[in-house]
Amino acid sequence: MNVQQVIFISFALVTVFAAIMVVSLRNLFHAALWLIVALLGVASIFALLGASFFAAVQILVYIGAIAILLIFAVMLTRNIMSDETTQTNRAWGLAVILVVVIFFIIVSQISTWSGFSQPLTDLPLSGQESILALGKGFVSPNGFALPFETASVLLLAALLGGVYIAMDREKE
Amino acid sequence: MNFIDFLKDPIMAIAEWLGNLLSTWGVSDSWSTFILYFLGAAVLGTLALLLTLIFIWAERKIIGRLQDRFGPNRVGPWGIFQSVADMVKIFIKEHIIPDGVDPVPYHLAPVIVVASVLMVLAIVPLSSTLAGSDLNVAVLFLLAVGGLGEIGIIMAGWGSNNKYALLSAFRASAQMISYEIPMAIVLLITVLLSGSMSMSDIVRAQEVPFIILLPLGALIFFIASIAENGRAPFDLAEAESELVAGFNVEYSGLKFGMFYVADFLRAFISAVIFATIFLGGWRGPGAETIPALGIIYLVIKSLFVWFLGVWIRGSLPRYRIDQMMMINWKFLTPLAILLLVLVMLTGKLVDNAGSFIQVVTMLVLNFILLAFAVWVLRRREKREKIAEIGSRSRPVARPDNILKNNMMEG
Amino acid sequence: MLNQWLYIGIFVVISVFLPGVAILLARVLSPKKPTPIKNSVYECGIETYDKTWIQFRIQFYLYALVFLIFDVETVFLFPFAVAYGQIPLFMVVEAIIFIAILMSGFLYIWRKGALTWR
Repeated sequence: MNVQQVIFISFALVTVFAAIMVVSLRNLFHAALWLIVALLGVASIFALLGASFFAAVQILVYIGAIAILLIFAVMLTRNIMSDETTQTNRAWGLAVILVVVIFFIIVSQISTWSGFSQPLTDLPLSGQESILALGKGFVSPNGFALPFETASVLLLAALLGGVYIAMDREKE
Repeated sequence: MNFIDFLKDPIMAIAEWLGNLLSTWGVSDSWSTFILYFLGAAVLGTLALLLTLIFIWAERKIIGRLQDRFGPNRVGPWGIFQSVADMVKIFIKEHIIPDGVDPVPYHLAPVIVVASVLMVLAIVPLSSTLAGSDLNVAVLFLLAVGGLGEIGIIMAGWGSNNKYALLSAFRASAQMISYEIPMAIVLLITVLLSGSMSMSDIVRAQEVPFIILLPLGALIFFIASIAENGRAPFDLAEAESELVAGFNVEYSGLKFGMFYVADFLRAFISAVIFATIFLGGWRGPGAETIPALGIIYLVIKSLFVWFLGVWIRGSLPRYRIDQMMMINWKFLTPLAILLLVLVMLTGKLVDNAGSFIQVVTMLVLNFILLAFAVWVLRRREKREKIAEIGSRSRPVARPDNILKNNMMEG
Repeated sequence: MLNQWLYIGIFVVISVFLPGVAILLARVLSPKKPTPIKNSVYECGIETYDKTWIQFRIQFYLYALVFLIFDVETVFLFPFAVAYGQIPLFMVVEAIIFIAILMSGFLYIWRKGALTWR
């Protein structure tokens, strides 16, 4: 167990614990804060894997924009301080059994993948060159130029849809 | 090494000596790197927090002089111990915790706000040999820690169980997230020009400082970073003379002190970032060979920018929230995007020309865009004036109006 | 590259640790005399008279939404900016198309009034 494995396991445990807290807390604001912890955990795992661009983007976009949007949206609902409904419905026992069974099926099937026994090799790019390759891939026609432009259309749809729905509510 | 070599690069010399010492003690290489990093980070962090005291004192003196009064001048010669006295006072004040606060956000918020300001220091290249961490996505990291600061403010507002604090926290965080967009776009332009997201590479690419290549971009970045910091004229959320203290109204003692420290420290750190990105960081005559000079140049440049910020703070009146948002979304963001598109196009078009022609083209482009922006603003101002005059259906309360009414009623 | 993140991780821990220790020290050093008046919520010197929630303006949500979209756009453009020095002109035009599509959306919401604080 070298240091890297210890660090990875601790980050992973923090992330999983925060994710469990997100879905089980009643106070929506606390759930949002635990979501921020979970996203920070994911960002640290990205950093450990050497994908520093994605770690920074995770913090910038997910925590700096999406979590804040979520908190603002949570504030739009009225009774956030006291949520009297229970977090589970009557079928929770059956759900737990099903989830555990499916989990074991998935884990047993995935663990037969041969890729797990090969050690991870770094990309032959380092530092700025990995981002350079990403950038060139975004705009080169036999790279990902079409998904790049489609992403802009997707963002446009999100922008217009969100503003349309929100402004409609304001006029009510 | 002899004394001259030590003087040329004292910090790396000490680091090397410590590293040698640790390896003779048998500590493995990675652990000694860890210990050196830890010591460096601890020294830098503590130094930043302690220097804030000097900055608070200096700012109070300068603003005092701008407002035609002395600043603090009782405690020690020229009042230099005023900040120390304030610090001691804030340390021993009682921490009043109001009823019904949410304990975790309330207590964590000051720590997160100060931490998000301090973390920026990790990526600033202090000299040609001394950079904290040559992260290859340093520019994105810069924007990301701004986001963490906003989360801290929302936590402070929510945890205070006070609806005015909550409202002020939302306004402050809306202001901060809005002004991150022009900052991000201008940083994008500098990455465009230097071809790398790492701060050290940006400094190394500045044969010609970027403020000459992009004066309009530097202006946009400067305005956006003052607004992001929450200083005047954008300090609506914390208007010291009007609202009580905005989102930190329920904080007392050192927790309030932490918000205060974060505010002033962030002013200086934004100045350091501006100096690194636009003024060339540690570059200057002789900074390549004598790294100690590099730090001095960086400090001088950032002090100059910081002084500009203080000057603006002491001179301009405060903006209303709708004016602030209008400035950002309807002026800075479109202008920044227009600048980005034009720089992208002309950069490629003059790619093969000599570097002098490139510099001149960029300068001319910036000034044309600035003239265009001023023209658009003037047109908007005229349109608003005409609209306002045209809507004079309500009688405006002017002194001669009131007198006339009184005289008519006898 | 891991070394750099190590430094940043250490810096994060220290920058959380330093204010935390300072605040704990101040809690130790400060007097603790809670009285009901001191502990009550501040409302310009009068007693609070309403439950603590506020009518949340939708304007905040709109600003956060627009910020999110433009943040993601900027993130997409950063790798392009790094690769700018080495790509031909038509690829730059592709990126300008990307920006133009989003700017048309921005113009739409500007005209619709989503950016004006009321």
